[in-house]
Formats: sequence, C-alpha cells, structure tokens
Amino acid sequence: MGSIIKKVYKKRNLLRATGYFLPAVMTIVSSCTRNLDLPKVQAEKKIVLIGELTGGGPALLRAGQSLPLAEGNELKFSIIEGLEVKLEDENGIVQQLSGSADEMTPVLYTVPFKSTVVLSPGGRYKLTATHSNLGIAIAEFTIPSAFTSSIIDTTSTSYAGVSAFELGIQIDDLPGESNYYVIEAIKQYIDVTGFFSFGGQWYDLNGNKRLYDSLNKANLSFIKNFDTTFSSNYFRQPVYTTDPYTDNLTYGNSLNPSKRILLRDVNFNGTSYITHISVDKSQFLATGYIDRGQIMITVKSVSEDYYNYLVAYEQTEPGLDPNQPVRIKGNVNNGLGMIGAVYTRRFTYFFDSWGY
Amino acid sequence: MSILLANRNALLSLLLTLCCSVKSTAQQKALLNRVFRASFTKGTILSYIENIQEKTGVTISYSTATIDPNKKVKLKGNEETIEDVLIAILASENADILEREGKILIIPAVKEKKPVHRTYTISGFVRDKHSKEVLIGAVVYVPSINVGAVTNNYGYYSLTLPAGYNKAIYRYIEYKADTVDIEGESDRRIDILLEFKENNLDEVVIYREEKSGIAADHLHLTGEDIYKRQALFGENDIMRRLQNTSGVQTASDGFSTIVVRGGDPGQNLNLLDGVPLYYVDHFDGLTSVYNTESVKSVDFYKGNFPARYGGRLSSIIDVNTKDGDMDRIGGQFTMGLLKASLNLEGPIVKERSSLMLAARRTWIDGLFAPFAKGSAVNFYDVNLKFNYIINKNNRIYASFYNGRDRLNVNISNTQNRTSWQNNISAVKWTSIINPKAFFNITLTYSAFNFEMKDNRQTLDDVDIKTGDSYTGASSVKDLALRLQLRWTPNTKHNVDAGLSYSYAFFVPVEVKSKYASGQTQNISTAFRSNEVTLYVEDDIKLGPKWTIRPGLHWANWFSSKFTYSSLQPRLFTSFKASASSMFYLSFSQMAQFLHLINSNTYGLPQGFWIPSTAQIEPEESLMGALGYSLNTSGNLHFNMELYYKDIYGVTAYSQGKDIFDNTDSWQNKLTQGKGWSYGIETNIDKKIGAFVASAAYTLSWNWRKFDLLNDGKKFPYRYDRRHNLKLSLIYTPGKNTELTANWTYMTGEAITLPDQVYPDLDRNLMIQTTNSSTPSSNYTYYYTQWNNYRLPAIHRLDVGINFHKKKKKHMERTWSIGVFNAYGRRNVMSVDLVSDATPGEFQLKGISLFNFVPYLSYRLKF
Repeated sequence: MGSIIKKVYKKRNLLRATGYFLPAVMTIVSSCTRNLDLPKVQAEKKIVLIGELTGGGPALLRAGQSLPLAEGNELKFSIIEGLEVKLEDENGIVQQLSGSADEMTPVLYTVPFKSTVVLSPGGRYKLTATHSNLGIAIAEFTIPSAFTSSIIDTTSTSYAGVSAFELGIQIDDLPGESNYYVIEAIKQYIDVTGFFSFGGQWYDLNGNKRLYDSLNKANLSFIKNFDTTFSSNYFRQPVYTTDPYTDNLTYGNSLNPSKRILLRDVNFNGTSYITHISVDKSQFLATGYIDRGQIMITVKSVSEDYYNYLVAYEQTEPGLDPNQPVRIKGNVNNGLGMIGAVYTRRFTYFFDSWGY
Repeated sequence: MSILLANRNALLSLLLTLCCSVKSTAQQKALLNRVFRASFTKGTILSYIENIQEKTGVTISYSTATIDPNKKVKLKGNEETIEDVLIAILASENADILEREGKILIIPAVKEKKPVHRTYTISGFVRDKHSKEVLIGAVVYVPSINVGAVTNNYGYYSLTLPAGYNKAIYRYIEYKADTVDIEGESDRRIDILLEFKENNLDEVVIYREEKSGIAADHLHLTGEDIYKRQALFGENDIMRRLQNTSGVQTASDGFSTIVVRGGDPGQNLNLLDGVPLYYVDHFDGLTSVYNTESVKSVDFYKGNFPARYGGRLSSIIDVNTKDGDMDRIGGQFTMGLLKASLNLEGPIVKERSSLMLAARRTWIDGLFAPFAKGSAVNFYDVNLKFNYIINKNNRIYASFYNGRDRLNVNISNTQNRTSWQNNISAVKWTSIINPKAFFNITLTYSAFNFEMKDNRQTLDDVDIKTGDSYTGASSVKDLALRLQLRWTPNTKHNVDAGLSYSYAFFVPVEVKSKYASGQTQNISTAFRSNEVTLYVEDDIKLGPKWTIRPGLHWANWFSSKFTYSSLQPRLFTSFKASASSMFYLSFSQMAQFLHLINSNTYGLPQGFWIPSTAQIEPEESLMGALGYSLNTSGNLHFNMELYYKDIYGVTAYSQGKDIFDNTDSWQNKLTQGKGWSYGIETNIDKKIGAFVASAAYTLSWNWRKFDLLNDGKKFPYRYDRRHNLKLSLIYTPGKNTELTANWTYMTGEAITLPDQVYPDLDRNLMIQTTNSSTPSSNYTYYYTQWNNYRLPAIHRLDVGINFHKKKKKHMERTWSIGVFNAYGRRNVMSVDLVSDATPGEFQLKGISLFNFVPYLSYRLKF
C-alpha cells in the first residue's frame, strides 16, 4: 500500500501539468438513463372505452385495451380485436354497435364503434363491451336533459397578453336537478373544394383562380359547385374565465389557460345564468389553405361522473409525475376510460374566408 | 476568723481545681499541641499519620470505617502542631480527634459533622492554545469524585467541587488533554488553553461519552471531522458528513439535503450561530450554505432533544462558526472543481477582539461565460464574524451571512433571471453573572428571498413578446430576540432556562405579470405571525451511575387570526451499566408551526415555507428512543438505538397543479394527515493501527396516511428506505497521507407509478392541441396507489486520497484527489415512461446522475 501511494504521490507534477481545466470537467455531471424493471405486481390488460355520447345523436365511441405496468407485460399498445359492444336502453332494447378500424386506429390504438340508435336526452343506457380474454366491461350513463343556451354578446379584446375573443354565454338551467356544464372552444378544419364550368369545360377552382375571378368580375353567369368537407379532427383553443363559480378558479386563476371551463349549477340552479369566457384567438385565422375552418363554441351539459373526470383531467400535465400524480376515475366498470354523457349546444363562428 | 478561714480554704480549693483542670486540659492536649511540621504538603491521610508517628513517636489510632486513609489531601504549609495537621487532613472526614491515655484517637464525630459540605466552584473558558478560539463541548472531569461538565456554545464551563484537593482533567476531540490540580475552598476562575494534536487519529470522529458520566445524546463534530470525508466534487460539506450517521439519509443521492428518521427536509432545524436558516442548499443541494472553512463545531440531534430547541420535528443541526484567531492573522484557501474559497481571520486587538471572514464562489462558470453571453450559473456566500472581549466576564459577538445562487438564461431572446438569497445576522452578548450562572442574549435576523423575472415573457406563456414581463418571488423574514441562562448550583444540577420572541413575515408566492396589452396581474399571499417560547430543563446527576434531564418547552404561535400553543415535555435519562457502557432512554414532544411545501410549475426552489393558519394546523411529533452505548479501551465505540416516532399534521398537496394559482383557496389544496416511523440504528467505530473503520446501519419503516389521498389507506413515505448502510475506512499510512473509502447502500425510494396507461380522452375525441399553453398527451396514466414502486437500490463507492505537506511553521497544503461513485453505478434518481422510438411502445427509464465523477482539490492553510 505504501509503495502504491508513493508512486501516486510522485505523479503530482503530472497532475499539476494537466491542470484543473481539462475536458474531464465535462464528465463532472455525467448522466445517463437505464431501463428499469416493471413493478412485480399482477395486472392484466383492461378494456378501454372512450367517448362522448351526445343526446340527439348516435352512440359514437372508441374502444381499445390498456397497457398494464406490471412485470411480464410488453409495454406496447396493440389494437383490440374481437371486441363486441352492445348498447341497451332503459326499456331493455339492445343494439349491437358496429366497429371497424379506421385511419386513426394505427395512431390511437382504438377502434371506433357506432350505433344507429339516436340517444335520447334524459335516457338511461348501459354499454357492455365483451372480449374473450379481457372479460366484460360495463359503463352506465344517463344522457343529461336538453337545455337551452345562447350567446348574448361577443367582442374581440386582449386578455392575458393574447388576442382574445370574449363571449357572454347564457345558460338556462333546469330546476330540480343538479347540472354540470362544460364550455369549450375548438377549431374544425373545413375543406371547400370548388369547381366551375365555362365553355363546356369543368375547371378546378383552386388551380384556375384567375379565370374564376375574371369571370366573376365580368359578371358572367356560369355554373359553380362547391364540396364542403368537414374534417373529423379538431383543434382545441385555450379558454379563460373570471367566473368565480367555475372549478377553474377553484384550482387556478383567471389568467391560467384551460382546456375546458367547468361550471356547476350550485349557485344558479333553475335560473338563467350568464358567464363570460375569453378564447385565445391567436390561432383562429388560418396560416395557409389547409387550416381554414370554423370556430365552434360548445356548451355542454354533462353527467356528474364525466364532469368529475374532466375536473381531474384539467389538472394533469403530459408525462409522468411520480411526485404529484392526479387520479382520474372513469366510469367503466372492470375497464378503464370514460363514457361521457352529454347534451350539447353548439355555436359556430367563421374567421377564415376561402375567397370564393 | 472561721469565716475567713473557710473563705481561704474555698479559694484555695477553687484555685487548686482550676490549676488541675488547666493542667488536666493541658495534659489532655499535650500530644495534640506538640509542635510538628509535616515533611510534605501533598499526600494521603495515611502518609501524614505515619509521618506524625515517625517524627513524634505519638501513636495515632483510627478505623478505616471512620476515615479513608488513602484519600489525598493537601496542607497549606502553615500548620504548626499535630492538631493543626490532623484538623487539616481530616477536614472533609466525619471524624473527631481525641487525646486519651497517651494516644491520639480519631473517632467518629459525635455530632454529624455536616462536613462543612464546603464546596467551591471552578469556572472559565476552554480555548485553543494558539488561536484562543473557544472550544464548544470540551469536557472538564474530576475522576476522584466522578463529576464533570461540558463547555457551552461559548466555551464556558462551571463545576462545583467539594472543598479540598481535586484534580481536574480537560479534554476535547483532537486536542491534548490538560490536567490541573485544584485545592481550596473558594470559587475560582480557571481558563484553560488546550493544544491541538497534529495528525490526530487517536480520537474517533464521533463524540462519545468520556468516562465522566456525561451522557452523549448527540453527535458533535469539529471542522476537521468534516474534512476527513470528501463527497461529490470533493466537497467537504456538513450535511454530507451527517449522511454518514445512522438515521440520516440523503433525499437524493449525491445531494446535500437530508431527511432524518422519517421526517422531511422541512423538519430539520438548521441553525447558523443560533439563527434559523430557511434554505440550506446551493443549487438544490450540490453543496449546502454552510462553509466548512468557517465552521468551528456542529452539534447534531436526531432525537433526545434538549428543551432549549424547538420549532422543528426531526433534527437539530446547530452550527457555530469560528470567532477568529485572537493571536495571529491566518487563513485557508481551497480550490476544487466547483468553487474556490478563502478564509481569513485574525486579531483586531490581540487577545481582545478578532475578525473572521470566509467567502467562496463558483469559478467554473467563468470558463463558459465567453461562449454563453448573458447566461450565468453561479453562487457565492460570505460569512463574517466579529467578537470583542469587553472584560473577563463579558463578551459581544456579531455575525453575518450573505449567500446567493444565480441562474440567468439568455436563449432565443429570453431574459430569464433567477436568484435565491439568504441574509442572516446575529448580535450576541454573553455575561458571567457569577461562577455558577452564565447568561446570554441574542438578537437575530434571517431572510430568504427567491426571485425569478423575465423581461420578454409571462409565466404561463412560452412565446417571446416585447412588453410582456413578470416577476415571481417568494420570501421569509424572521426577527427574534432570545435570552438564555445556564445555572449550575452544585455538582448535581445543571439548569438551562430561556425565553424568546420572534416575528416572521412570509410571502410564499408573489407573481406580478405585465402584458404588452397593458393588462397586469398580481398574485400575492402574505402572512405575519409571532412566536413566544419558554423553556427550562435540568441535567440532574442522581448518583454515580444515573443522570436524568427533564425539560419543558412551551411555544405559542399567534397572529390576529389564530393562536396555537404547544407544551412539549422532554426527558432524557442514562444509566451507566459499567465504566464503559451505558443505557439511555428518551422521550420528546416537538411542534412545528411552519410547513415546507414542494412547488410545481412556478420553478421555485425545491420547496417554500408556509405558516400554520386557522385552517392549517401545526405539525407535532412524539418520539421515544432506547439506546445502548459501549466504549472500550480498545478504541471501539458501539451504539445501538431503537426509536418510534409519531407525526401529526403532516402536510401534502391534495389536488391542483400549483398551490397559489388562486390565493383565496390555496389552503383547500393542502391536506393534513399522519406519519409514523420506527427503526433500529447501529453505529460502530474501531481504530486498528493506522486504520479507522466505521459502519452505520439503519433498518427503518416510514409511513404516511391521509384521508384524501390513496383512498385513506396508509402508504410508504417517499423516503422509506428500508436499509441504509454506510461503511467507511480511513487509512493513514503516514502523517502526510490519508486514504478514505466510503461505501454507501440505500434501498430505493418509493415513487408513484401508474398501474395502467390507456389512450387519452381528447385524442380519442379527435381533439388535438397546437397551443403550448394547454399541452396534451396521447395517453392517460391511471394511478391507484401512492408510492407503489421502488426505485432500484442505490450503492456506490467513493474513494479519495489526501496528501498533506507542512511547508512552513503555519503553512500546510493538501492535495485531495478521488472519485465519487468509483465503479460507476447508475443510481436512479427519477423515472420516465418514454415513448420515443415507436409510437405506442414504451420503456420505463431510470435517469441517473453522477456516474463516476472524479475530483481534485487544493487546500492551503496559512
């Protein structure tokens, strides 16, 4: 030991020569990742049902399977196969929902299921999903009663440092029951394809815009056809509120942007209530042809379990948070996910123009 | 005539009687009154008796049941007769002296001679011989009567002794012991200067019970102890040194933040010269705010709390800085990979006043400054202490601390400026009222400020906009006055009493935002509170084997809206089973009116303080401990302690992303519950030749339970590390070299992992977000249990070598080289569920830091 120390000691000059400022300093904070074992627990995949079932519309939901974080499981989503989904109403009438993969299935790992039956406001339903390996998952829900709502005023303003679209929304609350309201703003892309006929020939409008404009300018009569395609993809617009009755201000403040405004009727049961929201309109206007669309302001009455789900959902951040987990409880028994029952009022605004 | 004759006869009879009685008395003391001068002034009772017999031929009879012939006594030197000498040597014996039949008899006293219980008190300061620095925790012990005392935080001791001759031994860790012969009956002042032992490895680093009957209820460290064990980056840090003690673990491996016996970091009372610190970390724990170069001593309690401490539940870290060398100007310079440090101290007036200045700053950021203009990552701190001896009984001190961490980011036109700052000051006056009473009064001020500002964006908006700006702040300010008295009425009692008042002003979060549109937003929460405390305790020596220290600490926390009172009994008792072993038992009730809450997205430092309010109750703990300690003459120290602790009012988030998003309802986001921990701790230290080996092992369980969390079921606390083992070896082959090796093993911490992952709601409703202010994910994590997953165990080996060289009389330099985590174990600090490579495919990843980190440092003492 002593001789080793002497050798090391004699190298002190070498150490001094290399100095303190070696790139070795770069190894001071050397970090890395490693794969970890999954928890040694027993956990099985579960049927996942996700959807908003709207009164006055068909039952439309997506179904998949979960990924258990347990030893022995491959952490890879797979598309569920062989799932049967039935919808039963309060009269015992059962309908089998049809489901098949769509273009989003490889991305979302869920399969859409749809019924032809129109859901009735106030109606009670039971959704049963059966899978040979995953068992039976059941979600029971009641579609909220129809209600009325209206936009009483709008203005463009500035809020929280952003250009905002402010709306005054009146909700006519139903007496004698507890109601839970959700307000959102989303943009739906719309593709408007135009064709026109001139000189016996059909032209694509976009590719022959100059000709189209000149014909219009000359006030000539010619045939125009437009195909409007509404995209099935929506883009959420951040919303703000100063309403102290909202759950948003219970957990946050008026300058925190939210995905949804959440409001219970505890303070205005059975009366008409006016609330104001501000929508961040920085993305209202399209930057190109593709992202033109309409702004939809939806006011929804939702089931209580769906409302509680959304309150917890509003407080989550993307990614894992081992020290501040937010527990989100759904309503699918022996499964996961949320079948939200809603009744929707929708208001549409156009800020984009197609120039046709 | 007959009457006259009768009167004459009567008178003659009277005269004859008087003469006879005089003659008789004279004859009775004829031996005692013989002239005699002893041949020596110091000896045993027996030696003096023999000396008298030998020189005078007088026979002296006695019984050993009456006197202790081997008792050492001392003469003044002015004794003239045998009687004088016998009275002097038998002063403390319950005996009488008689002369009978030509002999001198020493017999039991007829009347209980209340041996004068004559006592006297010795008192004074114990100091370093060269620097005159007072030594805290030095021991003064009188083995013949098995009594002793320990110097207080100002180096002062007081010890009452029986009249007569006594030999007192003064000891302190790493100093040569000094012995003083004391004789007399009147109080006296004895100031001692102890000499430091160079290259000392005889003393094991842990403060242990000297054979004085004084119980070791805490860990006492000196600055030199801390230097013996390097840690990450070669940093000698107090908090890292404490992590080598059983019952203490690091919150995150490699960092200095500690948790003690199931508590959280906010339950440690960190004191700097008696002033409470609210934040003790630089850069989240790369090093603590304690500058080792300015430290004189550290007293650490993880239980057995004396009544003079209060305000926190889990531990006391009482750090005292150096006063400054009273004799010569000197100091120390240290340079490591992280920072450089300079300590200067010296007399202003020799033997009267001195100054100590210690400053340090990161230096490595300077290398990168030219390449990252406007950005900066650094910290500095400064300790300054002044002291002045007014007279031999009175002294004043003034100490100051200022430290700041800074993080400036100037990327993509952002101008983010973040800083954390501690400011502390204390003024103390100490006074010796009389040899048995020591008094001190302290005025302290402690302030912590955090500030984060940006001139180009607001807090929740990642876009850069001219005209947008915000300032976020968090602060605590505390002003306090403390009075303390130590009274030592006799050898059996040591009474401490004190009174304090403090005023605190908290601003947990304050955010001022300004938008280009002119809109502004202010979020601010502020609290004012007052605290009064009163304590008394008595260290009682019930007998040669048994001591007991009962105490009471009362605290009242109040504002205009609430008041909380807490009466906290404390008890510590020890029983010496043998000369080298001891059992001890303690009970402590503690209360804490402040809560340290970890913040989320505001980017605040690791946690911020909130006070108790009408809604948030104080935290309290009850702890019992049973221990056994063994110190053998073969340089073995063994200690084992069992403990159980209940904690009430533990505080945690129940919901919400940020606690102070809404200043009206922030209290609703917190929930209070219960915690409990129990375990067994073992420490062993052994010196074998040039080796000093230490082992500290803890087996413990730590639980939490909240009504609103985890469905009200108990769950393991985050820092529930079942096993915690520290092995240490110091090898000193010669006086100029020492090698250290430390091996650490800890069970992984408990974290919360989701049970299941399933597709996200919004994504399956076909709703995406392109706005960064409301981010979304493709997946939802489903949690059912808290802290249901254990990170892999942590273990690592740290090795280091110190090369010392004495250059001149007062100059010594040390090179230190070593490696933290020598075998590169990837100890996981956090986890993530990663889905990068293939969508829909995940991998649970552990993220680790500090894998094989070499260090090099240089230290020069002058």
